[in-house]
Order: sequence, then structure tokens, then C-alpha cells
Amino acid sequence: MSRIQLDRLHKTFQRHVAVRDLDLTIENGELLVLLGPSGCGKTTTLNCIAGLEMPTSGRVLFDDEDVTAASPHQRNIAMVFQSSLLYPHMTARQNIRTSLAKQKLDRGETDRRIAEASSVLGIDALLDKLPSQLSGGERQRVATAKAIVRQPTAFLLDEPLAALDAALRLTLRAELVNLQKRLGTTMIVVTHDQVEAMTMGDRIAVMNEGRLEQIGTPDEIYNRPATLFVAGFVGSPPMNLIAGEIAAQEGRTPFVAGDLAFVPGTPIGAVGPATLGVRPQHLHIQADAAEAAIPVTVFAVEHLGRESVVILEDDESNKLHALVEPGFAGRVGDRLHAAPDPAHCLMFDQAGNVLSHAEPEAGGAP
Amino acid sequence: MSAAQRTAELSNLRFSLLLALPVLVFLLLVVAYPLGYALWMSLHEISFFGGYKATFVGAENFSDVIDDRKFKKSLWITVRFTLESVALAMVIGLLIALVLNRKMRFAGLVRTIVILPWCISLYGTGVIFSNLAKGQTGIGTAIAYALGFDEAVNVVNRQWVIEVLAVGNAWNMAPLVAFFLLANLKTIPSRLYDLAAIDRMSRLETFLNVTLPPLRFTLFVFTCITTVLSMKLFDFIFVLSGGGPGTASSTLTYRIYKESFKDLDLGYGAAMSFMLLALILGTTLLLYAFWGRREARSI
Amino acid sequence: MRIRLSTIWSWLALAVVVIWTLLPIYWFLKNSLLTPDEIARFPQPLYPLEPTPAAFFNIFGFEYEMADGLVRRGSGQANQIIRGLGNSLIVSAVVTVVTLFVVLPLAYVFARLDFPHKNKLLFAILLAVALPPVSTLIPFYAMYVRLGLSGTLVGLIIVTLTITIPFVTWMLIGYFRNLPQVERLARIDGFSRFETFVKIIVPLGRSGVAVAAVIAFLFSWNEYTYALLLVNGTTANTLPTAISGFLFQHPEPSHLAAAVVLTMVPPALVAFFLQRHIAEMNLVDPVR
Repeated sequence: MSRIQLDRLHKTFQRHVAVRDLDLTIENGELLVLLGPSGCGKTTTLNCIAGLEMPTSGRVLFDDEDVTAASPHQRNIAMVFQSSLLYPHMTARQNIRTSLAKQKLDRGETDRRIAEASSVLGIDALLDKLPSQLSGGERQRVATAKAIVRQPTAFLLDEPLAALDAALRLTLRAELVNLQKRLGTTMIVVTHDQVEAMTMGDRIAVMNEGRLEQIGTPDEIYNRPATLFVAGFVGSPPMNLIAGEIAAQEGRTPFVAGDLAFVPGTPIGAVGPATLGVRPQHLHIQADAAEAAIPVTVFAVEHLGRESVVILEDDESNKLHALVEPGFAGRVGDRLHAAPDPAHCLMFDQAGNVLSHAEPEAGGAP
Repeated sequence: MSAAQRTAELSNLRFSLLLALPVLVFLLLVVAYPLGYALWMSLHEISFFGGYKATFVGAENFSDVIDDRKFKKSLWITVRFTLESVALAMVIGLLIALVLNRKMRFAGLVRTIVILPWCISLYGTGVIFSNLAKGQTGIGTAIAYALGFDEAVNVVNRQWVIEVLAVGNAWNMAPLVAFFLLANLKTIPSRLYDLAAIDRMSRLETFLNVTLPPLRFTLFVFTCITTVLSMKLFDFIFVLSGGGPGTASSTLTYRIYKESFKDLDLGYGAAMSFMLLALILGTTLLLYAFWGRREARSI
Repeated sequence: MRIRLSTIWSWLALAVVVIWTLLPIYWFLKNSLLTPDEIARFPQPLYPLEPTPAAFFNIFGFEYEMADGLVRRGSGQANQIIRGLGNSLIVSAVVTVVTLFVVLPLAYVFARLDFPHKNKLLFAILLAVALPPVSTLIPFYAMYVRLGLSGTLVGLIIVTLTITIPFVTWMLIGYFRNLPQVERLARIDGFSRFETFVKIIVPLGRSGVAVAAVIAFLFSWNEYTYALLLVNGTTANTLPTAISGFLFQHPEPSHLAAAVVLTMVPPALVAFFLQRHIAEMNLVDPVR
């Protein structure tokens, strides 16, 4: 168990900067998800924590001890790689045993741990099979067993569920979280899937272009995104982002975009180009025109059962998403109006930083 | 690298050096040293009679080679032999691959038979084809007699000896070509053939549009390989025709052998060797420039 | 009807392929089973009328009594053949082992690691594959004559390595490159780089290693040019050079054929293995 700190971690490959001066603390026993699009530096960050990659500058600390130069094995971390990489020529049991090859344990203890790990993951029947004889989910379980027998200081998982089908992903991610909570071991999961991040993480660190955009609980990331990038990346269907301008008018500061003139719930001091963000559940559809509503055409209606997603198109062909009751009767081509809920709107400045929250709060990090 | 960045593990570079350096030194010894020595020899007149003696003659060996009519003839024989060998090996290799590319019983046995010629030595191939093509023992004679003629059919003659050599060489090389083309063929999804059928492509169109494109890079590489192999071929020719009849099949390799080891003119032979090496490298570069570069880009 | 027709065509095509492959071999090998009487005939029979294994005994120096009481004497070349067989086995075995020791680390390093000037060195290996044996032989020959290495097994082994090492390296680079990235796994498990190579990569790539061994053995077993010029007529002669004796001195077709059959035994034994695994070797684009 340990607390992991990254101190101004910087990594460049030739001329490409993969991770840019990253400061990050992962608390003891926490499950942190590193979330971001591909190429954002999240896997490089994980590799630096693992010791597979040497940072160009900066330090990695485990429980305040500098391990930047230590080998992965000295750090005693366990790692599960993309598509559950295993040694293809070894059986599941041999794969798990190899984790302990350098642990100097006696044979009895090794066998006991393998038995325990395989019963925890329910893979007893698979131990003598080769990875090529296992399904994707089974391989994932074996890879996890290989990780836990080590009794490591931290689990590092690189897109552990990416290669699996949707139903299996749902089961396995719950299993992983359950396991982590029972063992109480620090875990870092890298993923590009925001649903996976929201469902698994105690906290989520959103990365983009080598930088940390925001770190916080799933609730904070979803409801109080610190940047335009986080707002757009997290949430499904995605948040509606409307580019416009904050105008100065007789004491009010309305947001203006085309026909829309809209007064946010909280007053904003700044004036200039800005982006309005509103989640689909807070974009209300109405038949009548209004100053605070955008004229739109129905582009598509997706019935999800419990609710429906309406995809709308404004006059500049920008797509907007709205969540509606399942009884929504609109048809493709209907002319309607979409009104953002002033109480649940976010404003971002030109640099992409948030200007206000429905409940104002300073900064993103807790 | 700063001191703080020294890791507990070996870096790529140090590990590579540790593992590969001794080997590279060895390779340098057995490849670069003889090559350098050959270069040195090509600039000398070397005699063995009355003790080993080397006299520096500059580029004389090279200019002698260029003026040598026998060299020009050998050059032409090499080019003709190579062209025929490569064309035959590629076409036969492709045909074998197409024939093998379907589900069949005893596939393992058939494939074992097909690869056999490649496993057999080149001198063995030489003996086999000499037996097959010469008048005394040849299959041509046997067939002629079976059909009622009574004349020996000998194709190891001035006119046809190079074609006999090319066929034997192709017989030996084609299996390798076939196996690698076959591996490529197996990666073509059968859906693509369904699509071609839906688009009502003829057999030829299907071959050109579905089968051939994924093979093209392999075809290029093996054209290079078979070209190089044919140009450097010696033992097969030595056994089958001994460069004859007369000098009808004296390829460059055979001439180099004769100048160096029969006439013991090592400097002259070395100079000719460099000509051959230049021919081999030049041809591969040309193949790359006019064909390979396009294929490499299209992948 | 259509399906039938195409089936017939494809069987026919298969038959042509098999005949193309086997006919030359058959035409030669039948000689080994012919009686002296049949050999003397012109034209020779299409198949042995009274197949006799006499030649196979004769080439090892044994007499063979035919059915009609005629005794066929052992070949005068028998000593050469037996010694050649022994030498060929020694040379091939040593070459195979040395090639593997040299090539496995070399190919691994080129396939999986990055270091400066890698592509230039790779080009040097390809160049070595393209060198004609007759050309490389000239300096070796001159060198050996002066060092007293001509006519020795050691000398022959060294030059044979100049063929096997570059080719097998080239072959294995592509194979190693296609193995999964297990090095990361091994680092997490605490293996040193060297242990990773020896304990993980080599066992993982064992079929490639086996192909490499087989190819190295075949190349050196089949090698004739070097043997012809370096050890022919000496005590270090190999099987192919011993066979040359039949070829140019005493035309004895059944003995020649039997001896050549002998040289084909190892190739025939490995053919089944090779047809399964040869295409795993990435000859086509080892560099990319």
C-alpha cells in the first residue's frame, strides 16, 4: 500500500512532448482513473509510475521515497497491460507463477498464493490452459490474478477492458472495483472510455496533450468541469457547447450567439468571446420561439427506453443533444426551439477555462 | 544523461552493445575483412608459382576485365540466365501457391512434397537435372524412343543449355516463393471474393483486383531474392554443365571460378568479383527504384 | 456440373504440381535401383525392372549378392563416402550450433531494440546475404593457403558461417519482431534484460529458433562451392565433394544416385517441419 506522488513529471520522445510538468498525488488505497483521448500522455504517465519509462525530468515518489530510478520490480508494482498481455507460451498457472519468480518465496507459499488468487478470480479450472485457449475475459482474469499474487504496493492497469465486448466489460469493471476495495491497494487505471472512468474511479484525472486538465471525484468532473475540454469529453451524450460572446448591456451580461440572447443564472464579470455549455438533460425543447431559445430542426430521435435522445441541428448545422421523456412526439424535420436551463449552464472563456458554475466555487481541484 | 537518471536496469543501448557487439565484431571479421582483402587483391597481380608474390598494379585488373571479350560474353550469359530463372521461378511459384491455396486432404503431405526441391542442395539439383536433360540418360530420349523415334534427345547443348539451367534453378527456388505467396494468399478474406462475385467480376478481374494486390510486395521482394540468388549461383552450374558446352553456360561466377582457381589469377578474379557484386547490387537498386519504392509506398 | 468440372481442374492442377516436383527426382533416383544391365541399356528403362538395393550397400564398401548370384563389389569410393559423411555431420552440427549462438542475440537486438546506426548495420547484413560465394572465397582461399587452413574442417566451418549467419539473422529479425511485447511483462516480473532474452524470448520463439537451426543445418549440409575449393581431395572432404568422385572420375550411375540419395535424407526429414513453419519467418520485410 502506498501513496504515489508525481513531482513535475516531464517526458519527451525526440521532439514530441508526451507529458508536460505533471503534478499528481494518488492517495493510499485510492482508485484513480487517468482519463483522456489517445495520445494524451496517460499511458506514458502510467509507464513512468511503473518504472517502464524513464521521465525526462521530475520525480516519482512512493510514500515520500524517490523511486524515479528504481526498476519496476523494486517498486513492487503489478501491472495489467492492454488486451491483458500474458506470456503466450506459458499456461495460466505458469504465467501467474512467473510473477513470483523473483520474490524468493518458498514453494508452499507460492502455491498457496496462486490457489488463493485463482479462487478469488474464479479461474481454478483455467490454470492449465494456454492464453490462446482462453477467451478475452478469461485472459483478463488471469492477468488480474497474476497481478494480485504479488501483493504489490499498487496495481497499474492500462486499458484493461478495452479489448472486451460491452457486456463483459460491465461485469469485469465491477469485479475489479470490488477487488480493489476488498484488498485496499492503491490502483491506477488508464482508459479513454469516460463511462468506465466515471463508474470505476474514486477520483478521475483528465489529461489532454500531456497536461492535467482536472482532477476530482466523478461528481466534480461531471458537474463542475474546470475546462471546456473536460466538459466536452465527459458525459454521454456529450455536453452541448455553443460558441458565442458575452456582451455588455446595461448592467446585465447576456451571452449572445446568433439569435440566442441568454442570461446565465450567475452574473459574469468578464466580457468577450465565450462558450456556453449545457448538458442534454438541461436543454429544454419547446415549440415556441423565445429570446433565450435557439431555433432548431430535429435531425434524429434515439429511443433508449427510459428516455430519448433528440439530436437537433441549428441553422449553422451544429448538432445539439437533448434528453427528453420517452413520449416525445417530434419527427425528423420538425422546427422547434431549444432553451438552455439558466440554472445549469456553464460558461467558458476563450482559453477554455470555466467562468462560472451554477454553484460558484474557486478552482477545480478539491 | 545526468546522474539522477541512471536507472537500476540496463539501457537499450548498453544491452544491445553487450549482446550484439561480439557478434558484430565476428561478422566484421568474416565479411568485411575478406571484402577488404579482396579489394586489396584486385589491385595486385598475385602469383603462387615460386612463392606467394603480390605486385601492385593499380586498376589494371579492372581495365583488363572490362576489355575482356570473355567477360562480356559471361555478363550476357548471366543476365540471360537470371532473367529466365527469375521469370520462371516467380510464375511457377505463383502457380504453385494458387494451386495449394484451397482446402484439401493430405495438405501436409502435398506441402511437404512441394517444398522438397528447396530443401535439396543445389549440386543435387545439378546432378538431377543433368541426368534429366542429357541425351544418354534423359527423359527426352526415353520419351522419343517410347514414341518410336530412335534418336537421343540432348538439351544440354549450345542452344538450350541456359534454358535447362534456368528451369533447374527455378525448380529449386520456386517452392520458397510459393510458400511465402501462399502465406499472403491465406490472409485475403473470403468475403472479398464474395464481393467480387457480387460485382460480377470475371476470373481474370478477380485475380487482378482481389488476389494480386496483397501479393505485390512479396512478389517484389522475391524477385529481388531470386535475382540475387541466380546471379551468385555457382555450384549448380558447375555440376550440371561445367560452364559448357564450350563456354555456352560460363556465367560470371563460373568465369570467376576459372580465372581464380584454375588459372590462379586471384587478382583478376577478385576484380571480376567486384564487377559481379556491382551487377547484383545495381540490379537490386534498379528493381527497388522502379518497382519496390512504389509498392512500399502503396502499403 | 460446374462444381464437378472445377474440382477436376483443381485436381489436375495439383497433379501437375506434384509431377513437376517429383518427376526430376524420380528420374534420377530410379538410377540407384537399376541393375548394371539396365543401366547399360539405351534408352534406359522408365522404371527399375528388377529393383535392387545393391548400390546402397556398395557405396559403404559392402558387397551385395544379387538374386542371380552375381556379386556387386563395394565401391572404391567407400572410404571417401564414409569419411565425407562423418565430416559433413561434424561441419553441419558445429555450424548449426555456432550460428544459433551468434544469430539469436543478434536478431533479437535488431528486431526489438533501438540503437544508433541500426539501419546501416542491417544493410551490412543484407549485403552479406548478397555476396556471391565464389567472390568471398577468393580472399579466404588466399588467406587459408598462407595460414595452412585450407583442407581443414575449421577452415570450412568458418567460411560456411559466412553464409548461414547473415541469412538466418535476416530471417529471424522478422520473426522476433512479430512476437508480442512480453519484455514489459518480464520487466514487471523482475527479469533482467538478459534473463528476459534467455528465459522468455527464446522459449517463446522456439519454433522460429527451430527453423533457424534447421535452415543453418541444411545450408551447411548442402554447401558445395566452399568444400569443392577448400577441402576437396583432402581428409577434410565432405559428402558432396566425395560424391564428385563418382561424378567426374568413375561414371557409376547407380552409385552416384545412391550417394545423392544419402545427401537427400536430411532435407527430406526436415521438409515436413519446414513446410509448416517456413512462412512464419518474415523474409519479406524484416526491417519495417
